[in-house]
Amino acid sequence: MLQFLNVLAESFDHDPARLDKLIAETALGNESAFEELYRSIKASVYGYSLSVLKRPHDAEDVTHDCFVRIYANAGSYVSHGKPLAWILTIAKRLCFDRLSEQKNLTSLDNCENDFSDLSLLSSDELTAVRSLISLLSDDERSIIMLHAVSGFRHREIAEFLSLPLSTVLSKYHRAIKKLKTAYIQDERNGK
Amino acid sequence: MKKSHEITEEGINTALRSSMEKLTPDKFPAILGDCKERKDKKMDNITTIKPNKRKHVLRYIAAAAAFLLIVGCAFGLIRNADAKNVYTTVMIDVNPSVQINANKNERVLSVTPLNRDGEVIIGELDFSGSTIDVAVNAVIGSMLKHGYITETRNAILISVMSKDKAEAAELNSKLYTEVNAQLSASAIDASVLSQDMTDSNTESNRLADEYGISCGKAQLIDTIINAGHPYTFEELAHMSISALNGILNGTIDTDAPHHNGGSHGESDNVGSEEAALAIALEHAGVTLDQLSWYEICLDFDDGIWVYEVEFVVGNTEYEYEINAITGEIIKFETELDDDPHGAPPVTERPTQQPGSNFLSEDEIRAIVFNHAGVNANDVREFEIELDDEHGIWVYEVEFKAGNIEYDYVVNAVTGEIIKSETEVDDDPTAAPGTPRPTAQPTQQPGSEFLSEDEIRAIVFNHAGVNANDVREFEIELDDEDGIWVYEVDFKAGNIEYDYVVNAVTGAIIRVETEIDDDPTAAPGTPRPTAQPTQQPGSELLSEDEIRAIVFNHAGVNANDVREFEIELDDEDGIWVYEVEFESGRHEYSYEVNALTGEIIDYEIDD
Repeated sequence: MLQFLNVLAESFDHDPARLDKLIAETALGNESAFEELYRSIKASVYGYSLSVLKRPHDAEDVTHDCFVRIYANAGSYVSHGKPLAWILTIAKRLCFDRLSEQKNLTSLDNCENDFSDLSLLSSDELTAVRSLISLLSDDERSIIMLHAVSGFRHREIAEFLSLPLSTVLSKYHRAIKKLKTAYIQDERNGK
Repeated sequence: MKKSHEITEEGINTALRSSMEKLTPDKFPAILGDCKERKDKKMDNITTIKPNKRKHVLRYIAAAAAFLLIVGCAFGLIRNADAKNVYTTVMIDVNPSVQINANKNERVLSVTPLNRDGEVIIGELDFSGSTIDVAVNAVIGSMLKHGYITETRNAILISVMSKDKAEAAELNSKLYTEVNAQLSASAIDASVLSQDMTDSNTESNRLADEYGISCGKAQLIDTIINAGHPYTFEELAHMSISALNGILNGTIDTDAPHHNGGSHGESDNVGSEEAALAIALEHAGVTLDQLSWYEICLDFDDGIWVYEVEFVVGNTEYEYEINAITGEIIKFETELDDDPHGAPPVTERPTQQPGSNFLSEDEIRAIVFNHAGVNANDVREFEIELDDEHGIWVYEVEFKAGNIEYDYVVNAVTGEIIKSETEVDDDPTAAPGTPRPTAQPTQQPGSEFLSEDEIRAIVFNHAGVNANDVREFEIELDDEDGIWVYEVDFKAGNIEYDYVVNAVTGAIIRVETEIDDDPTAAPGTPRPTAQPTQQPGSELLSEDEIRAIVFNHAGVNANDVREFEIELDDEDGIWVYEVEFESGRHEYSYEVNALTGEIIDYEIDD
């Protein structure tokens, strides 16, 4: 039942017509609409940024900047029926800018400790996040994140990442396999 | 063994979603606060600069002088042929500097780069015949694409000069609004500075020439000096528009390092551009005489003054950002010369303009009909369109013959077939089960691609199926990861096959088979008795060989096997087959070296 409610909630949160309306209201200066927009999709923005940058702190910064940009540019937004794609495109550019700064950093330390509060997570959730960051390649992480958290279809992911659809499909399936393996291993290790 | 709590794909997705919901911090108040603060700041950043009214004496002849000034302006860029017709000039400065000349009807006569970055921006774009605003839009777009306008570098100076002052003011205002909208739509916060150049004076133009900057930038500098900021023209000439903007509107509160390295409120600064260049050269391990080009610019970034040093050695471009006070290298980047800012790839404009060296429609028809092996008389619904794809001009061709729909993309100059696709025509009026016309595709003269028949041979061989048993055959030429491949799908028996084959060498890159979940296929249809032979020249083991290996290892009988799936993949640089199947109460997964047949990994689950 909980899963069903979750799915319901997700489809409601990401409903394009609803998001379009919230953006339009934000453009008019409606702060509570902006807040509702924020609450609806902050996980999408954070999740995607995390998938690219891998560091929670950076993902938080990008999320912050992204919403500031949204607020500033809501007036110029022209709906093509894909508000979440517009928003994540902004996030993508911000991540790209940040990546070129990150380039000169060498090792990627164990960034698990950077998360605010992992104790909130169930063991399944913990496994999902850990293995996402440590086991998947860059593309695989983004693809899984866009699908799982933002509800993008594979075709939409292909367009967003400028990858052929077949590549998205095969990377998605490979990623799922890797994650499943991680679960099985965690199970065996009694986690 | 304890029955494992088996996670499903859906379970993973749900876990990720809920974990992100939980992990994303709630920072709304801070965000809203930031939004409001920026809103206030933005009002200050956008300025419209009034013309320099210092030299009253020139005002009377300003109108006429404007024309003369254009001619005498930086770099002597006005082509003589244009000179008489130029009515309006628009200059755009970010770091690249571009000048647009237009005639009385706002039609563009020329678009000229005023510096090297400007050349990159203009590239091969052709503006003839377009109106000013379209040209400006294209230039801004090019700057965005090449990464010259970004979140941190976002001040754009637009200077308009016209024989008609009222028109200049109106154009100014219009461009200001349009450019702002263009940037806003890309979600970039920008400062657009627009200034009216009609009253520009000869002195700043002369200096513009001397320092190699646009007249527009020169006038902006004039404005800054007249506002009382204690910099020399020379110092300001080397600053970016962003920095100039910052000084003008007071957001930059730190004094710039003095040009000569002398004191200017700050001591101990690295001081001069030459010093910055030396630092960069030393770091790069090159000497001044190796440089074919260099440029140094003073900018204000993230609260500090920095020198941006760019130079080219051979075909590598270097970019440095050096703290102007401490000399510390903040950032550096090297790239191959043709893409200075490493912007993400975007479809480029083709370099060749449509012209008479394109093949004619008749020639294209001949090429594609030949390749498809069809007679022109049998062709229906022929469509042809000229388009640009990935920087080259192509013809997009579609037609039908028999019950096949053909799609081609052909290089418009060479006639090379870039892409071809065939599909069974799903036109309901076509008779069902019409046999596919026996095609005799011939290899495109000069093309290196294998023909469809050759590909068929390769894949049917590998799959161990007979051509006559094959249904729903689909083949598509595509480029994947930089090489041309054929993507092939077909069914035989109750198996669905998916191949990706190198279009030049015929090597099988990927193969996937699945039980055909088409409900109309008879359940339990026996698999065709295969006689697999190893593909001549191919080193990969065939599917049947892999089946033998894994069934043997698992100790199962081929007839007891259900839900068999096999996929060719590359993992860590070697080709492996990933195999999954069920038998009895167990689920088997194998990873087998595709060349040697060695079992790399396996797993058996309840």
